[in-house]
Amino acid sequence: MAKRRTRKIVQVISAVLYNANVGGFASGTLYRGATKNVCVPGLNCYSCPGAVAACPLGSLQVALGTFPKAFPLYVVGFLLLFGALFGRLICSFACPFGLIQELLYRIPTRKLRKNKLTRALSALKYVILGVFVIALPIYYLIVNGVVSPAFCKFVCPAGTLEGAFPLMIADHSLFDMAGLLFIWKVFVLVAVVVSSVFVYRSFCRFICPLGAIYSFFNRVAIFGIRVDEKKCTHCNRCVRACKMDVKKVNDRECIRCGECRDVCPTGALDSRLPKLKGKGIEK
Amino acid sequence: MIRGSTQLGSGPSVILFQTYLQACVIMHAATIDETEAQMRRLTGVGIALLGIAFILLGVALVQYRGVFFKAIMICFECIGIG
Repeated sequence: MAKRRTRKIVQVISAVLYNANVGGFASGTLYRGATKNVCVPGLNCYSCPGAVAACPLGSLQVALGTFPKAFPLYVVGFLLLFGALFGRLICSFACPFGLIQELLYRIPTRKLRKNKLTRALSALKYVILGVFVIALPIYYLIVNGVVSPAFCKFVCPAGTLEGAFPLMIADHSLFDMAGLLFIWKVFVLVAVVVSSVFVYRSFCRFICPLGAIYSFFNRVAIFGIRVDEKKCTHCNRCVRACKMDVKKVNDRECIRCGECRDVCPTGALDSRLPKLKGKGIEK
Repeated sequence: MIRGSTQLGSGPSVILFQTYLQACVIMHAATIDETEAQMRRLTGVGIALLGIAFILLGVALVQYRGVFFKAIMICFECIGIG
């Protein structure tokens, strides 16, 4: 329980740090400090008036505007670094939108448990990554000469919640400019919010391309859940207790929340770094 | 310190041989057990270092300006207007 509280505290601190420009909410203006040169690890719209840094997903789409003349080393470097250090641990500890979904899931209703369908649907985020984050921005670049962040434009509910609403509340003229696209985005946001009440982290599991990117690093990430094969009896309580669509601990759907640790009867799961002992590595 | 070591003698060759034995034991103890998990961690370290190198190269090529200028302007696509 203490570790669950710690995770919640880290999530809240991350959300506050990402959006520390509190004055921006009142004035309706964006932060323009030097930290906007840097990407945060989690999904946080840089059009949020409180945002003090850049969204890695939005930045990646924009950076593709230089492709193929120049490879987007800077943004890809951030994704490689965050992914290799943490993998999808970022989803469970350092993503404000993940926190929002978890809070919504706490609303007491009947819940839709994971099943074969949800496991199959978890592949959808890779399609969204390929189509909306990579292919469409490049397509717009070829056709229009200017890159357009297609995921941000057509899908991302974080942009609507964190960017559109605070800006429109502060500046009503933006609301007058809204049209069909805004209605669509609100629809997507409402769908994600409602589904998050019944389905654990529905956006993270089925839609989020950033989670899809970090999932590629789960097996090699330095920080994560460690399985002590000597203690593990393969009872699968960890998999059954996990609310994500994992087949085993640390696979690409694992967000390293650590809830599996609490149910393991033999203490085979640990979230520490491996130590170098006198003889070999203690896993 | 190596447990169970014994003094076999005091001649130079014996001392050298003992030193050699002690070095072998230390090397064996310090050898990284190259399990699959360790190889994965090392791969992660390599990718992290590659990421840092990419970031530094990106800074040298001033690619961060693209990120900055996008992040300080209201993204009308993101908020559903553009």
